Amino acid sequence: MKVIATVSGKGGTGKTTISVAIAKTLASKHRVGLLDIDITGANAHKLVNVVEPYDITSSGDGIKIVPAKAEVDGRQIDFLSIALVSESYVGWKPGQHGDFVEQMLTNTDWDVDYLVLDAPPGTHNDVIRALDYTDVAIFTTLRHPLAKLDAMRTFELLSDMEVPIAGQYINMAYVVCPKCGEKIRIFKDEVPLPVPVIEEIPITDGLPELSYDKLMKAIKNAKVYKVKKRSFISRTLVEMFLRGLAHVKGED
Amino acid sequence: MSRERIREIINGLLKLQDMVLGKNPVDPWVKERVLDNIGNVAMIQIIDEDGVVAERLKLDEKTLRIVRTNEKPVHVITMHVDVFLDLLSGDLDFKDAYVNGFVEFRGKDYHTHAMLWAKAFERLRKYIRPKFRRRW
Repeated sequence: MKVIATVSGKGGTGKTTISVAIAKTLASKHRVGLLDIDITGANAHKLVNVVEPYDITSSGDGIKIVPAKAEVDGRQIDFLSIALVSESYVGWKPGQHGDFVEQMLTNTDWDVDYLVLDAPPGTHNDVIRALDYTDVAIFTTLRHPLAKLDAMRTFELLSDMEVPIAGQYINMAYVVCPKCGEKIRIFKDEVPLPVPVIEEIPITDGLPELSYDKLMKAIKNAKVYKVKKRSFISRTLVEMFLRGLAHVKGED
Repeated sequence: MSRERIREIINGLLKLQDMVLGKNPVDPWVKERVLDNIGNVAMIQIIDEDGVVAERLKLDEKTLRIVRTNEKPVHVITMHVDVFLDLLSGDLDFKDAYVNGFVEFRGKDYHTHAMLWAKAFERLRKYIRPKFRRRW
């Protein structure tokens, strides 16, 4: 089983949408599981159709969770989320989030080829514990400078943990004009991270259609990136400062 | 609530376990899952203004019933007495109490076991809620 984590650092980049889209794309040819590890903001269950609830069975070495059966646009996936237990707020103590992630990874009967992890924003303990089990990470990025800075932090973490990165989906990259079909780009046309762009995703209502071939090629070519600590973040900060200065001077 | 009263309630619950573990269980799924945990010791800690009532309970392999024990617990389950009473009356859903952090699990694979409890409470919910509440 290959574990693919969808990460971004920044909240609101569309990780859940991209995670479900990745799961759906892979499910066209493989057995796929989707684990929502965004514990305090679990909502992937709203994008899939759960047809059979999760179950608990016992085995020789303790109890095991059997993931729920779900459908995404007619494709079958195994699915698990704390929201399947309760949609109420999660009020656990520090450390318990990471414990949950680890137990859902190790105590669940994931009989799949690919397991997609929908990670929460940030670089908290739960993300770090999930990355311990991750084979490949895929970024969901935005072109916005603040999203870039947060993505850089996660990029640095992945570098430290030597997690291979397949690339990035640049989400909400443009809007397609419904009248003339022109691609309207809202943010500046720059690549948020120094990793390959798998695809650019337009602002769209519903799940985006991803290319299976591009996704598989990116997973196959995933590699560990080495960064000097803080270099990217400090570079981004300086860049933002210079931009702000240029803006104040009216040069922008 | 006095400690004696909390212990009385736990005594009452232990007397009711035939419903779940007897020859004609209300839900065979729950009985099966409970019996999967023979020998496991859990400590239930009920907190109130006077302190803590702690009961170590074990599924006895000979009698196949939950009994008090002094053995080292594998899991510790902690909650306030109000939560305990609300769970028993059906006013509080166990699943919400677990994710909200009102019922705290600790020990080996504690989230996995909490999800088992959540399933069991969900299935037994219709037996937990007193019938007289439904009339209102």
